Amino acid sequence: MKQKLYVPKLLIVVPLFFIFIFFLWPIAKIIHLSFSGESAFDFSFLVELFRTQLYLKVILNSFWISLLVTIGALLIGAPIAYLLFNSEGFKFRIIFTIVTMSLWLSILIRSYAWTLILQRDGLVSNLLYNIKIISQPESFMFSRFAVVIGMVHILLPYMIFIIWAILHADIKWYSKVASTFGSSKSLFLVKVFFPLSKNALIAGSILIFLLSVGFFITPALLGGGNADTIMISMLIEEQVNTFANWQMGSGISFLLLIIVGLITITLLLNKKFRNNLLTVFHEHG
Amino acid sequence: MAKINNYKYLNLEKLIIILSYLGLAFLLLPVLLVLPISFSADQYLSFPPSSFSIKWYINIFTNSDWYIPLIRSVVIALCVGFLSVILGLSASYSLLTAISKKNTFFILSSLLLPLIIPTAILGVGLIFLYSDLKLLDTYIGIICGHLILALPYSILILSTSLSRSDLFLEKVALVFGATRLYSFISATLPQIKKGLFISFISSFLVSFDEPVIVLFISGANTRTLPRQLFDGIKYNLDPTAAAISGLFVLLSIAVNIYYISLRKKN
Repeated sequence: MKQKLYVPKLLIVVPLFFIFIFFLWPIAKIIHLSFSGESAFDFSFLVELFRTQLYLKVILNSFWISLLVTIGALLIGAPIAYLLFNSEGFKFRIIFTIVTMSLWLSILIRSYAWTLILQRDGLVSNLLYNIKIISQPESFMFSRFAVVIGMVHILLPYMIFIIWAILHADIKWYSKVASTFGSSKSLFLVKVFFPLSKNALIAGSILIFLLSVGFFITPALLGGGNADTIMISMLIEEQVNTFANWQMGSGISFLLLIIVGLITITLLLNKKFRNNLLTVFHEHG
Repeated sequence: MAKINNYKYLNLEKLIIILSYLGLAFLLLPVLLVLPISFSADQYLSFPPSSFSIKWYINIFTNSDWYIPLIRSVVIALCVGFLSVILGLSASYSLLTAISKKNTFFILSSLLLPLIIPTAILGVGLIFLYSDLKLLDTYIGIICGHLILALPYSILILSTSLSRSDLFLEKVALVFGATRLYSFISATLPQIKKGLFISFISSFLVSFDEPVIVLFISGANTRTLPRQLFDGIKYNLDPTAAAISGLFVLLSIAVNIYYISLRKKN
């Protein structure tokens, strides 16, 4: 039941106003600018976009790399989420802290750590050189492999928390049901747990893919912007900052917005996910 | 009941547990690696370092290329943290108490949008806005830009905090003659102390570590630490970047160990 207390409308108006001016209005401007050339509603940027090989390559790169990152994050993150789900007390706190610490550590620092590992004279190179697998120090940077590993490392905590949170919301009776299956935990896993956790894994994957597509820092630092590793956000930044081509920059931003929008709609179409999201507000409303 | 032949499932759980520990190592080790490298005395960082020194750490505080952006980032982040908590509290409170369920969905969606919209897009939009408002390369511009990114975190954390607290106490305070504002301050605020603290820290960290927007809207006068760090890493010429990384890893570990030991006492 809602409390019948006086709450000034100003409390919601100010934040909304702020978001409108500094977030919604800028994005509206981007959309408007993508369509204004010499004449109003000029679609010229779209034509140029699809005619040029480079831009198509960038979009393909982004999708492919994001796909690889999502799969990697899923393979590594799901077991950790499972471990977290099954731990209690001190063990739980340690694991939780490791994941949280990774989450809050600067993205620059984490990307930098991979630079130090993958560069010529870095950890991997020196290791392989010392045990004579390679004949001279080699750099593993500026490759798709580097970008994918870096992004998996950055996005892993997100994947872990999303899966764990949704698991918690959906499967509360784990221990009770597990005991009815006796000692065969693994059997329980395959017959019951996996089907039920599908929801969490799908939601996590879609979200991670969404975050990957728009990534900038890690691909920029680990990929260097060559033909294999340039991603959409990097192209936007280049157009706006280096070439001052605001129209092109807006056009590509708009395209990215559409991609992100479509993916978000897929996520929100899942009723369960919507409910998980709004639980906090339903409870009190 | 038929006998279940579960030999093929026997090791599945063990496999998952092993994978999870490997995954945790993958998460933790690269970060820890920064530490020995940051104490390297070489100009060009390699692993393992040939000699050790703390000169890059000292450089952080003596070289104006680094300590000025550091101070700037701290100041900006403090402002962002403070404003984010206020605006976030204001939004969460009214969403929880005074907005209908239908409106909540739409308002919440717009407030949380910055979480999923790629930051580069926001950067471009802000360039357009700021060139009109003459806010390019200004502190206010950066604070507002960071605030957009930090606000969703504040709202999420404070909403959870508020929904777990008892708002009925405000009514009680009113009955006893307190003003509307004072009843909020005395009855609800103490209950959400933890949420306020966490949302401040989160907003502070979001701003302190923000590297994308500053690429678009900051300039020579407002060069923040992430901006400096980005160049330092990209061109790999300044090992001070490793020292800054090491500093934050150490700080982070210290805080987390403290936190774990605190909880353990309970």
